[in-house]
Amino acid sequence: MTRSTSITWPDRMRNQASLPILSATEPSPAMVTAESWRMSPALFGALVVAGLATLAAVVFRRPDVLLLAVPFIGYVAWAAGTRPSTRPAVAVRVGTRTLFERQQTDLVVEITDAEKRISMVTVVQPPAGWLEVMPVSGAVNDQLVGSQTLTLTLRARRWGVFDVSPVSIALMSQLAAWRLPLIETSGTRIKVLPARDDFEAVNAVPRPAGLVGFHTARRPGDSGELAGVRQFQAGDRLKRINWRVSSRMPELHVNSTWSERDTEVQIWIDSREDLGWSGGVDNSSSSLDIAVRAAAAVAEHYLRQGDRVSLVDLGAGRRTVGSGSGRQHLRKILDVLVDAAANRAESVRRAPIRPGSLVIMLSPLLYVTAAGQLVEVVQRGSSAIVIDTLPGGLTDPARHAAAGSGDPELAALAWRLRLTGRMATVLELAELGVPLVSWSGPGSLDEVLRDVSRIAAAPRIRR
Amino acid sequence: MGIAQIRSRAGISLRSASRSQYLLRAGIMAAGALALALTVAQPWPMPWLAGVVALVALIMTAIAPDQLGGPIFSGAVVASWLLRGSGELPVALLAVAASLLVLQLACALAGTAPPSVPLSTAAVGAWLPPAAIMLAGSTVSWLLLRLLGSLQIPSALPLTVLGLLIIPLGAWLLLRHAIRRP
Repeated sequence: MTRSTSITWPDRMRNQASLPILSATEPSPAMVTAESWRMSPALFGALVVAGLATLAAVVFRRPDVLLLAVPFIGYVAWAAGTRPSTRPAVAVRVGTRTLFERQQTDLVVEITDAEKRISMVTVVQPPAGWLEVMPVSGAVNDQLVGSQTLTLTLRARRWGVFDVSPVSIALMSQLAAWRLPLIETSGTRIKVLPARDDFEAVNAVPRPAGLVGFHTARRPGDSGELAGVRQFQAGDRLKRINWRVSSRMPELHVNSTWSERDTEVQIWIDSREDLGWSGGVDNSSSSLDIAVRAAAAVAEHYLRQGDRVSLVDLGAGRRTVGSGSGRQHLRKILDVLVDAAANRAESVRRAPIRPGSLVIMLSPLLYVTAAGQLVEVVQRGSSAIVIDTLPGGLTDPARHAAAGSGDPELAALAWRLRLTGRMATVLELAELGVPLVSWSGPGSLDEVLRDVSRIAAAPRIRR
Repeated sequence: MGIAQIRSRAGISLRSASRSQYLLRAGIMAAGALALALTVAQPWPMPWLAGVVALVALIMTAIAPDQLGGPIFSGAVVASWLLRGSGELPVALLAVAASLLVLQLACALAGTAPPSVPLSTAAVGAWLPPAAIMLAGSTVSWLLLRLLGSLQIPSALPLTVLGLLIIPLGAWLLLRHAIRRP
């Protein structure tokens, strides 16, 4: 025997009617078939008090007791006269399921009550991972007169894929005397792509290799980039004749230009460990946060330049994006990046290296194998740059130990040993001629790109 | 539900409560305290057991307004008047009835949303007209009952008539809506 429905917040009954969350593009919102209206605990209590007090007043002939029952009789009478008898139409829509960090989407709940007897509505959305629900309480409560639209906002605070819990909707009649069982929608999944920091780099790549592109190559060819003025040769186009120079010289002279090429940029992301504390896009970043956001920014920059970009996740072999270009390819890379997670168990992937490509590795450099792979890159004649993703606060062993659990002295010692190993890796990279830079957004790679390009352009002795 | 679980839920409920929910709970405490004080202030002694039950129920109601603490408190106050009252209709009785009405409505309102959610002012405002009507009904009832008393009409007759109207209505509501059919 169930006397009344009591909503226990925030635990929600799971066996209620569910309705799908619809995207804004889907045409017709689903109509909820709500179950019958039930007494609230308030009405049940009022009914019991009113009944017993009235009975006692009649039996014992006590008008004073009857007067105490009058408010409860009034409440019950009001409830009896305002009981809803129809089912409201409820539709829930979520704006978009793919966001960038800092972006937000609206979760809109529309309720239509033709009978106009529903008085209050409360919509509850529990927080979902790094999706922040606004208002902060995760719920909105409002009056319902005929129809009402309530909006909750989900704001993305960190990249990733998040399962959004079902929305709970509570509907109540006047004076909260009658209520429907909680209506729960089905959950949905929202993908949050990493925020691409404003990243710009000099238009320099070490070894431009393709047929077309934006980078000035070291070889002469057709483009607008002036290489110099030289004597006319057979095969030169007449439009390239420099008449001003030719008029002062005995022979014809032509303008020579550099060719413009693209290059292949390989982004290696070292996801074997996620160090540091992630506080969302506007707070502190872990090593994986830095790596993912930097990889997204670098990929976008080079793809915008018309280069070919590939992505290799050293921690997980399955997360790889082949070489490609264009906006669709950027989306592919971002889709793979949002799945990045610390994965120490898997064997380290051996990344394919193409000669002449520019390899940008994002790593906290706590594994010796990372440096080992770069040896092969350099030996194959490619250029490599390492972006250090270790958060700044972790370079101090004492601070790292204080943040962890267990014996702080032992933790500090262990961390100091790891940092010593990291220093050895850094020295090894320096011997190989691989530059190491910290990620700091725009211009992070400018200096090293110029250096690498200069080294690549320097004359070499063939053995 | 164990005591530890109840304490934990009560703690969460109070710690996370919004300002409007705090105000509602304060209203519940104030209304309950007024009803208790007026009952205690009567010339007859209040039954100690009813007093203890009422006090505990009032605290329970302030912590978890959507549970049965409110009806238990009201029941304890009514029982006190029934057991020790003289059957007279002082102004204090009307004030107790009004306090019980405020407590009942505040409990119902508090149960409409989780404790952390601020209640909509418009929604709360919509409760005022029915509350005023019920309060006016209580006052009219008090005046009528006093009038009947002053006219020396035996109280058994009108009470029986009212009982014959109200008790079947309550029973019908219980049977119709509260008891679930298989």
